[in-house]
Amino acid sequence: MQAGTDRDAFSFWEAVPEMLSRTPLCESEQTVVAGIVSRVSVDMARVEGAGGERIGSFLVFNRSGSRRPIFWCFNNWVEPVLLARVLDPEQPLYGMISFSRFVDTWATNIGYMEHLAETYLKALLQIHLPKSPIIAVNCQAAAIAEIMAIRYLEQRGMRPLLLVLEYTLRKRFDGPVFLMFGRQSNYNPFRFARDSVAHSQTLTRNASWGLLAADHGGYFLQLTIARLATFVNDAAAYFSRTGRISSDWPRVEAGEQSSGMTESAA
Amino acid sequence: MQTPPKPDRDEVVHWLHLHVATALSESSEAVDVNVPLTKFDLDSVDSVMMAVDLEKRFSVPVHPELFLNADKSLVEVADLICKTPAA
Repeated sequence: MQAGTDRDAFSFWEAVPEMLSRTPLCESEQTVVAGIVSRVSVDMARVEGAGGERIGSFLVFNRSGSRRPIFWCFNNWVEPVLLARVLDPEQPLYGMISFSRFVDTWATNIGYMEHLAETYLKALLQIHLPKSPIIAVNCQAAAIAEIMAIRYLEQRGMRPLLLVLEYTLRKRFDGPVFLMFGRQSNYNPFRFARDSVAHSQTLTRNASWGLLAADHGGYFLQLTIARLATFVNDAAAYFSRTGRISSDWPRVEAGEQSSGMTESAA
Repeated sequence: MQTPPKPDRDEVVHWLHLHVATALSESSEAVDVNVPLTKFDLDSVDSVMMAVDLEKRFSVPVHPELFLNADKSLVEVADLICKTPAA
């Protein structure tokens, strides 16, 4: 996806369904998905020497850390390697990736997201967790985490923290959400006229926001990634203590507060 | 605690040279240590793993971005690494 200079941030996600579909894949689609899953697994093997361990579908860092684990759906296997280097050493990180690098079109990618979310959720539910985890994601894979969080709450009756980077919510999720955007990014809805706070309040009762002094595509680069990790660490720590996200936020990094960010979170 | 010695520049160049040649499945003769890394067909996983392996081998902190935005040659990368205090 390319961000146009004057495109409303909400419009990037219009193709993502607002409702869960629960439509099973047909036989030919299952074959395609099995092939992609196999390639994802082979791709994961290339980074296993970078400190992570393979546990099922996940590449896991700091497994024995004391904090609630983060299950993060990335664009590729490089991103979890980079993020794990700067997260709190007590923060377990379970990395997974979307199909975006393995399919030709955005529509195909979206078409498999529900199935992929189910696959990852099944793997997540096999891990014994005394408290609900953090389910995180960046950009194009966001719908995967959104579905996982909704289904986790449905199946476990516990609210995970949904932590998203560069995505405006599409589905109703009755749990805490922390939305992060680059202040200069075209995916930042606070740059546009529509009321982002009101929009989120229609879909969740406990949301807050963080604005990084960064642009789209730069979040895993050397300077920004440390600041991204600070946001993630703080949100994870607060959620671990309270099971919620702080209503004292939003947090705006280095620069003027954006229009629409003055209102306290729901 | 004694600080580990800085890595030897020639040794780092040699290591990088072999590492890139192996990643590209090329002979070392085919890899010019004086051209920008962008000239080679390395993907982001190659780049990050090179940084991680280099850290382990020479006990120096190496940020993967050194290889991800690789407008530097292997010799220039080795120069930077050898100026970095050992971990």
